[in-house]
Amino acid sequence: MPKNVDILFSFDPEKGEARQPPHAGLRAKLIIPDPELIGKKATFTIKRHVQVKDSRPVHDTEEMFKHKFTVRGEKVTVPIPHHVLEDHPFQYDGEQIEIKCFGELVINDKLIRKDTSVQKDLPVEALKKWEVLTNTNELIEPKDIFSFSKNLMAIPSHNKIATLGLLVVGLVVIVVNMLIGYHDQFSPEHATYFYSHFDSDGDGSSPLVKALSGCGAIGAAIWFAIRRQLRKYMTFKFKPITGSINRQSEHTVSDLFYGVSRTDLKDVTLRIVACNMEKGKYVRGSGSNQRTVSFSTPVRGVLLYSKKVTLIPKNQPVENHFRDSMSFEPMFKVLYPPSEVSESHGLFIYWEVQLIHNDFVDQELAGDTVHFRREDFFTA
Amino acid sequence: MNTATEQSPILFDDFLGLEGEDFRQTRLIVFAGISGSGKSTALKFLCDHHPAFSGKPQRWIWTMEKTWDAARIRCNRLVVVDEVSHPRQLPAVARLLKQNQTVAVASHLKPAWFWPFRLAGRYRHFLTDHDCAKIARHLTRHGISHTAAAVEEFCRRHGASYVDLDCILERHPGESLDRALHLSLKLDRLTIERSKQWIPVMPVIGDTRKPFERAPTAGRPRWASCGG
Repeated sequence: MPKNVDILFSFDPEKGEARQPPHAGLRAKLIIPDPELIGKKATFTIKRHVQVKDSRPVHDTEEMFKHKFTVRGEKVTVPIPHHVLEDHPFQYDGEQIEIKCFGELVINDKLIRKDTSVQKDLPVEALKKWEVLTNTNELIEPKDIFSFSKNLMAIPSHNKIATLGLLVVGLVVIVVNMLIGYHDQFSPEHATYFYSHFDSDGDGSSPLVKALSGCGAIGAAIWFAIRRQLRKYMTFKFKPITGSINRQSEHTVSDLFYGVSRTDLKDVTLRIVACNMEKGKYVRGSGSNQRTVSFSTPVRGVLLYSKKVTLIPKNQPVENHFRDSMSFEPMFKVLYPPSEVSESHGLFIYWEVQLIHNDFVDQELAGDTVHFRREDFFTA
Repeated sequence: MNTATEQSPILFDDFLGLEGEDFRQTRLIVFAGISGSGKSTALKFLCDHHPAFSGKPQRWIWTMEKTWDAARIRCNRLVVVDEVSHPRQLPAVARLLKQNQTVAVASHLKPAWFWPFRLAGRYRHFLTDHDCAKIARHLTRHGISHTAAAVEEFCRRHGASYVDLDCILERHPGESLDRALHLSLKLDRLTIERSKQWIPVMPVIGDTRKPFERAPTAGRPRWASCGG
């Protein structure tokens, strides 16, 4: 039989702790009308819950407050401590996650079956943010287009030698490997150099096919080693940021980073972008070994700064070409405040500086978020 | 141990060349590789499509990481053990070999554990997670553009696992493997976790003459995977 237990939240500013607006004095009135429940142990909890929108989700919950008691009457009033509301908990309904804050009353009245329980959302104000129309994925991770030859010419001599060395060694190894494969394919088993006509089980296999797959692996390894070398055409690093970044503060872009290029950079674009990052987990696969995918989905992307420079001469500080003033205010207007339930679940803030060039491999720096104050995100 | 749900049909890529294998004299067949690389699907192919076993007495054992009572399993043409993950399960495999004609195993053990079984007769060992070409074919079949370098990089990081590949492509739909892999490295993390309680899923091999079918799921595109 339903026992009609309920939770009623009420706000009483008179009883709030001094100087702690706006939620001071929030109380939960627990309604327990069933006399059979008197004397039972009960727990009232305030939780922040990240619900992952997926067919096989892994949710996460943070316990913000817990009050254990024994039911003595029909009504129990529990004052919600200030620290719970200090964080300005808010409800969030995003692309891949939903964040809810609610109170939960559980009365331990069953030995085997489920306990009597009720959940009620915390009376928090809806947080409305501006609509965003940009393609956040494209903003946060633009497609990297680059010219191999121009990039090669721009990197330091020792990296150039390393790159060309890798190319030559790779080519020689591939040619020799293919020659061996060709030889072994058309030789009797006793005359093969390296590739046998049989596999480990004694079944027939083609030396030429083995050599081809070997070439693929060699080629791939060399290509990734070369790409690492190609990034070295310039240095690009963050400068230490002093103080906090807020809505009012103006920053000179050149104070955020420094870098020097070994080659002239033509038509280079510097962008500072920010977004909310929805984090959660879901499960895939079947059988005893399942995959847990920990995802980070960028949403509500906002472009904070963008400037195209026609030429940055080599060996000149790159930051000198970006002495403009910029503000992080649009980020506070568009993004939701961080609501991190754990390292893997919740809503996070992300920002980065991108240097985009069509001839060279792009550079990017992910910014630290410790400089932002959570409160600054609450006013639209 | 023998109840399982079925997944949507998948197109079987015979990357091990099983169809052409003569298993008439083979006593033990072992498929080894990371989970999701196609071990169970290869076992299912043997059961349903290989001339040596198709339509003949068979038993499929889901071990659920435990040992099983092999005493009553006898006189089968093929007994499938899915899967062997601990050496303590090997005596039961030996008993199955004694009482049945052929035993096929999906294994997470090192090949050396099976060497003594060579004494029982002809033994075949297949590695399911070493073939990058099958990943390239899987991508081509689904019209997903990719470079050889991206396929090699994927295999280097994850092994030739269909499940991992599908996880990455599902996260970044409409992208090439190269870009999906790049985005995945920046934004996501893929971990393999051993599950203590899981529901066995019997692979269903679709008609290879029909185009690949995808199972629709709520919200986002899903990829049928042939992992095992």
